[in-house]
Amino acid sequence: MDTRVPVTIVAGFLGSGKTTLINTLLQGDHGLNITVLVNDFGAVNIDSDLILKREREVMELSNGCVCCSIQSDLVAQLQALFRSGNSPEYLLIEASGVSQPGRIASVFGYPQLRNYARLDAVVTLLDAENTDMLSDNCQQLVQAQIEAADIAVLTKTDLVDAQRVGDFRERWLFPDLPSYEARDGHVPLQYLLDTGLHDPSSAALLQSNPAAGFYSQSWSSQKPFSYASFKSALGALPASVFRAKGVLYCIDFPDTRIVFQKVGSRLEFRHDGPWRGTPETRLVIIGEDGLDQDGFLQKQMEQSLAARS
Amino acid sequence: MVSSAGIRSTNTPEGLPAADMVLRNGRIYTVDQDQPWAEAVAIKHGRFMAVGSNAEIEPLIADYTHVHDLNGAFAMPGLYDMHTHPDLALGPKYSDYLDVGLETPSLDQVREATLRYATENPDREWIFGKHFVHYAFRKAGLKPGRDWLDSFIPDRPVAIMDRMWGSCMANSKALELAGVSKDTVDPNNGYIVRDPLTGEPDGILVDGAYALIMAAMPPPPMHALTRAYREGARFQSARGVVATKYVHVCEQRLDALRAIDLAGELPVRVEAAISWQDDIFPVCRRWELLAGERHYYRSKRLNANAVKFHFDGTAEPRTSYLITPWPNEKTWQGSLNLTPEHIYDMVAEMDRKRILVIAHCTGDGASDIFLDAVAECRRRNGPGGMRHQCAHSTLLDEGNLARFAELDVIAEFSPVGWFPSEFTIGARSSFGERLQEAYNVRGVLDAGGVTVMGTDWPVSSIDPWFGFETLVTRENPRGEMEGKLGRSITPQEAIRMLTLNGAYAMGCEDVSGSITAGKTADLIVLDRNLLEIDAKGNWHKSQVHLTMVDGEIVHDPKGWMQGTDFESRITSPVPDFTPVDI
Repeated sequence: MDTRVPVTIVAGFLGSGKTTLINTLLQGDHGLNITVLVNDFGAVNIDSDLILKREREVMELSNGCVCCSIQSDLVAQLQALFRSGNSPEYLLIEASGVSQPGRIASVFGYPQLRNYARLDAVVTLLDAENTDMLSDNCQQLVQAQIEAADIAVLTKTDLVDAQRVGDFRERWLFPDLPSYEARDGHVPLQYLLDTGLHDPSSAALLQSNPAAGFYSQSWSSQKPFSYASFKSALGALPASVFRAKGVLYCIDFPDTRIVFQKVGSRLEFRHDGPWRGTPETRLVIIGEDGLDQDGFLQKQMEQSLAARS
Repeated sequence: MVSSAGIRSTNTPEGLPAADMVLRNGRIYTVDQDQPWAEAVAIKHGRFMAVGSNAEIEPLIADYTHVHDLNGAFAMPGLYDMHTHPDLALGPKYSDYLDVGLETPSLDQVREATLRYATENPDREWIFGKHFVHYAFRKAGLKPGRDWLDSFIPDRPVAIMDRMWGSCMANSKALELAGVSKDTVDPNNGYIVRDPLTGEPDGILVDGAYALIMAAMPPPPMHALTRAYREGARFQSARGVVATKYVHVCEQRLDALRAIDLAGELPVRVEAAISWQDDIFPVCRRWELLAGERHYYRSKRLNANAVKFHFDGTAEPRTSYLITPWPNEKTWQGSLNLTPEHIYDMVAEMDRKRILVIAHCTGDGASDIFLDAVAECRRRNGPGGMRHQCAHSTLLDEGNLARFAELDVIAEFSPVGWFPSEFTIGARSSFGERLQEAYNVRGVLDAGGVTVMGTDWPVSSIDPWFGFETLVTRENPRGEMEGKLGRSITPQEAIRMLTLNGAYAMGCEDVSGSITAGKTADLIVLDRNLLEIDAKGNWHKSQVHLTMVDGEIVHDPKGWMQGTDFESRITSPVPDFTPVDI
């Protein structure tokens, strides 16, 4: 069982709606006790050009060392938080509008932190109305924010027509990046935060809500496949599948359960101890658009695995 | 007088040889308490032979003496910048590394640039440079890493930084040469991206992990380091600096400094501080250097008898180590990079070897432990030890102010964040109300301590005049923001801080740092009289019309000495390092 604290980073350029989203998340009916950490730059009201200039200057000049000190600070602060005896149940980090969420995300890979916390997703908010008008420097920053994203949330889509939203997706987003539109300031909260903290193999914890246009499917198989095949097949799930989890029966690691998690475009694999009972691959996915077809997951997995075996 | 044949004039006082050079008719502020002002100086063999009125100097003029009339110009001792890093600022620019040259290169453009660089530099074992963009890879549906690089250049080591310097992409050859495998332990400040189940590195190294790759690469080429130091020192000299500390050096950097020194192109006296840890770059043969090889570099202009270490972090990310928790925090005091015991032993050991310790201390807790360490060092080694330097001294505890004098520790202040500006208010905002007590120069001076200033380039401008002015005003020199932060010192105190106090910090105050007969002839001539104008908005615009070190003219923009024996050997154009907006 993964007892590490799940972490969601909420990013997005100035004015993209992060604070609104976080307030909504905090008030949401999800039963999670959320701790919010505001990234240090967030408290600092400096204009973005200045920060970019300084960051670029510092990084170019000192081969990244100063930036590392920012990173190590975050590591130290988070370490203190996790060791305090009052470790959060769920951690939400609000990145400032001018920060690179990838840099924040990377600290969860540091050795000091990875035993305590598990990065669940980077959620990047994108202002569909104003992003195209930003300066080159700011657009680079937005690229970095998208680059780090596992889930994109388009905001202010009600202020532009559908054609422009489509163009925006085409120009800015990746084919494999799931994206939602925040309608009237509301986004499907339950799919932004980890909804099944305790037992990744339990299908029941992934609740679907057909009324809202979200569908869930499951698939199981007692036939083992190679890890590489699973990686390819799961990596090929369409972007409309934004949550998936399960256990995998891999030829390469026949004695251990391999736990698989997908949040947005983030895929995670890890060893999870010996099998209890018969080894079996079990998968549950949740998403929209096309997932309502019968046998979608079974077809998708069996075709992908067959092609790669 | 003496004729050109060298026959002594009867007008020359008995037993007193004439001067090589006389500067007269000036308003010379000497920073010598016994004689604060003078009209003229006589210089011989690189030293001031006499300082006084025009009439007093007159007898020292022989016909071979070069006499320059200052026409009432203001002169003072040269400046001491006691903490800066021109190599960090400039070295990478001159390194001829691969530079894709585009803000957002496509994958094809990165590939082409890499292959072109490989062809054009067949002798360079490593292909290193910048940059690629993760975004472009993802947009193309590909992953950056060893597989992608190996697909077109498998046989030579390649490492390319990403645009934001957050990660490095390395090919299999680079990983092999750096010894990075699935068994390599991640460093504390980063990690190797690996397959989660097999542990094999995929060729992306994040943050501190790319130091593993850099450690395997050859150091920056000598030409990059020599150019960096040459240009940095040239700029400093043109802004009136006569002595400086280059903080964080390694063997290659010392070699570069020595090369410039031997070529007679070092216009400033340099004390170089060897890095205590590999936190900026790897320091080869550190222990040999500290054990004694440092003396190999010693000359009149250069020494490497100092060591630099990072004790805590910085204000912006709240890693400065404080005695009490940070504002709005319950327990967070910042981070301490080394244990107190480590510091105690290191300071005492270095002191015993007559090596000066420059300790990066931005938080009051860091300087507190440093002062404790020096106290312990004095107890172990006895009096007469080195004047160790507390670098930055951003926040100091009131209870520690007097200890600087008691323990003979130099309080160094760096100008970033001195004055009200967007940067200061923003980057230093985490200090909260304590921002007003930051950079307590006044407090240390009142308690009898010795204070010095460092520009800390590239953290702030290498031009010392911005910090110099704000020592006096504590206001924004360019008037971009109203208000005043912290307590001022007087113009006279500020001048002393940048001159004689600097000499004290370099252990040469008995022979340098003021315009006093017998001391080294270090002097600058300005376009304005600092003590007759309002410092605010004026001092930082001061133009230096002459810089002299050891009696040698090293900056002469007006050509005053052209055609004389004192014509400057340093004629390269002054690089434009005018302050960036901070």
